[in-house]
Amino acid sequence: MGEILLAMKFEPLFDHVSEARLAAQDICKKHYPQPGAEPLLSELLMAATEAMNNAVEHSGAKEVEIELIGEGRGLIFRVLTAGNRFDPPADVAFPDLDGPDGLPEGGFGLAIISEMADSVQYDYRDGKNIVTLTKYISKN
Amino acid sequence: MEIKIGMDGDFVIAELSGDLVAGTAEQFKEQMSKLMEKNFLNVVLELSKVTFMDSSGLGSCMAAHKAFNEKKGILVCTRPSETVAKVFRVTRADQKLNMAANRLEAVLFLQNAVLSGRQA
Repeated sequence: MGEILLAMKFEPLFDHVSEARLAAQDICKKHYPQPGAEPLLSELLMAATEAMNNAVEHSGAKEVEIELIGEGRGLIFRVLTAGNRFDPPADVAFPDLDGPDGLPEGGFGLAIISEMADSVQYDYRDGKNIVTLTKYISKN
Repeated sequence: MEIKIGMDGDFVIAELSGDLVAGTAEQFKEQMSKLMEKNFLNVVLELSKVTFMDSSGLGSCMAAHKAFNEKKGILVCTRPSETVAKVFRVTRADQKLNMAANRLEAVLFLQNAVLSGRQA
C-alpha cells in the first residue's frame, strides 16, 4: 500500500502546480537524502509537473488532487481530477522537430511524462481520471 | 521568475532566474517580444539560474528562437543547469536551439554570425 508522504488539493492554477512541486521536492529530498537519488527525484518531479499542468490546463476540474506515496521500490506520484474520461494516445512520441512547420512550441508534455517516469498508468475510477507515475529509487 | 537585461557590447544578455514554467512562460515571451520591438535581435539567454523548466518553458524558448530567426536575429542559450539541460536533451531541443557552454562562447558565436552575415 505504501506510506502517503504528501496529499494536497488545489485550485487548477499553474502557480499552485509550482507550490505542489516544491512541497513534493522537499519531501522527496528528505525521504531520499543520498546524492545518487537526486537525478531520479528530479525526473519524477518533471513528470509530475507535466501531469499536474495537464490537469490544470485540460481537465476542466474545479480541483486537482495529488498524492506522493513512498513504496518499497520507490515513489509514486498520483494526480486525480474529476471529469470526463481521458484516454491517452496509444503511442506517445516527442513532436517532430524537423517537420514542415518548423520547431513545435508545444506537445512535449505527455512525452516528457513517459520519458521521465519509469511507469505511467492512466485509470478512470469513480468519475475521476487518475494518472499514476512511478519512479524506482533505491534507498541505498 | 526574474529577467535581468544587460548588454555585452552590441549584444543583449538576458539572465533568467527562478522557474521557467507554465505560470511564467508568458512573462518570458513578453520580455523577448519587447527586445524584438526595440530591435535588439542578438540575445544571449543565460539559464544557469533557472531552477526548473517544464514543457511550457521549453516551448517558450522554441517560440523565442523562431521569433528571433524570423527577424534575422539570433538567440543563444547558455549554461543551463543539469535539470534544465535534461529537458533540452530528451526533447532534442538542444540540437535545434543555439546552445553555448558559457557567456563568452555565446558572445563569440554571435560575433561570428554577425561578421559572416549569417543567421543561426
